[in-house]
Order: sequence, then C-alpha cells, then structure tokens
Amino acid sequence: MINIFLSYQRGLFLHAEKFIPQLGYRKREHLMNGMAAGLDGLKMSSSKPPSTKIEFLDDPDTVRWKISEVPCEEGNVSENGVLGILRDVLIPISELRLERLQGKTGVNLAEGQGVMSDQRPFISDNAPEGTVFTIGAKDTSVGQHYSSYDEIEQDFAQKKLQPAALKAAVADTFNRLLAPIRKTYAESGEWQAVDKLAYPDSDYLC
Amino acid sequence: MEQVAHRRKYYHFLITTVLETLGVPLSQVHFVEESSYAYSKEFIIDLQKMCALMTQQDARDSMDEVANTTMLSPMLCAVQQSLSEPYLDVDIQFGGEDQVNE
Repeated sequence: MINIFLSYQRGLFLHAEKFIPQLGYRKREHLMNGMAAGLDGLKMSSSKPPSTKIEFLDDPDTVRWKISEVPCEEGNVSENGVLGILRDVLIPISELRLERLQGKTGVNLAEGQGVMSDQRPFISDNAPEGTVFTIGAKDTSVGQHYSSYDEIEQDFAQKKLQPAALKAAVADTFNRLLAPIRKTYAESGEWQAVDKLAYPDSDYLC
Repeated sequence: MEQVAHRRKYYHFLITTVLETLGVPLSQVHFVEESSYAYSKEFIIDLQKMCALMTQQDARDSMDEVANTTMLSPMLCAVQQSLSEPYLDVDIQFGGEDQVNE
C-alpha cells in the first residue's frame, strides 16, 4: 500500500523517519518527486493565487486567458511558465499515452484500459515516429513535430518557435486534457452540490 | 468540521475523476478517511507519546507553513501524518520534494 500526499513533504518525511521507530513501529520508505512549475515559472503552490496555475475546473477561456497572460519572452527559456507546464505536465502525459499505445505499461496490465475519455497523445495524426508533441497540430500540413521537450526548448531559445505559437499549442492541449474532467463535473449534480458546501465563497459556479 | 467533510468529498470527486482520465485503474485505488482510525484509544495514546518525545522545534522543522505559526493545531500536522504510516500500514509514502527545511 502506498500513502500519497501532494504538498511538500521532505520535512514531514524526516519527522516520520525520526519518530515512528521511537514508538516501536517499522520505518517506511519515502519517495519524492520534483515539484511541477507554476505559470509564474516558479514552484507551484496552493497558497499562491489562482492566476499562477491552471486549475482542474478552469473553463477553456480561463485557460487561454491565464496562458496568454504568462510572461513568455521570445527566446528566453529561464523561468518561462509556459515551457514549465509543457515540460512537467503535457509532455509526460503525452509520453505516457504513447507508451500505452505501444503496449509498454510494465507489469500493470489494467493501466489505461477501458478509459472512456480521449486518450490520444498530443501529436498530430501524420506525426513521424518518435514524436511526443506537435505544435500547430490543427493544421497538420504545417505542424512542427518534436521528439523531446529539449528540442522544443532549443527551438524556442533560437527563436525558431514563437511565443504565440507555443502559447496556443499549450492552451489547446491543456483544454483537451481538462475537457473530460469538466464534463464529469457538469454531469454530476452531487459533485456540484458538494462544491457549493465545501467552497461557499468560490466563484466556480458563477 | 462539517466543511472539512464537504471538502474531503469534493476532493474525492476531483481526484477520482482526474485519475480516471489519466487511465489509472480505479479498482486499484483505495481512499481511507483519517477519521476511521484517528479517534481510537490506541491512536490517541500514540499521539500523546509522540508529543512527549518531540520538541516544538521538531514540529516547526516539519513544514514551511508551521515554521512561524503561533497556533498549536498546525504543529500537530506532522504528528497526525507520521502516525498515518503505521495506522494505514503503508510500505511507501510518496510526495513532492521540498527545498526549504533541509
């Protein structure tokens, strides 16, 4: 069994490692992953304002608006929030979906089976083998295909990839990723009712 | 406390939906409410033992949010979460890395 907590855990893990054995229990293993980047190009945090991250139930216009507002200077790859979410969120999910299409799910055969929502990787239909992300996928004749995040970053640094094209691709892809979550929310009266009670001051339902 | 219960339900909906859209088989995911074990006599005794072993600094070192708090309850977060390991009988705890309290 695995216990998953999503906030910053290093201090908490050290606490458990120090005190749990003192109570006579066995020490547990602790795994940590890197923190995903926020739209401000820094570490994402629940204590920062909503504009610094895309939220699961943001509508398509909000996603586009938030991404359009992110500083993303031509050729500048440092603390670039758009590149950050592409690296930490979109490309890993695209790779995961590609691996499943190739049957590379490791030992868990149930992984990715029977999913109702769109599970296509974020590449265009005519993308060459090895592509993990296509920019400009809507117009497949001019789609630019990339086989790694590093290639995208390199093109951006060399100004071969413009901020507007990058932003459009990231916003569209994010909206594709979030669409089934929004749909489930829209169809679940129970979830919406709990939302009202859990966050009475929120504007999710406005 | 009622709002906490609503928020737990809200996140149950959200996390379930997100995992589902990511293709995680939900038959292999189990949610356990802390309240299902945290009010037992055994748990409370362990909580008290741990408080007796800890300094205030031990609590402050556990999380950024607790480093400068003047309140008592945030300082108990680490106690609750550490005790969840034996009470859930987990093998591995997984979380994001934190650069601050090294």
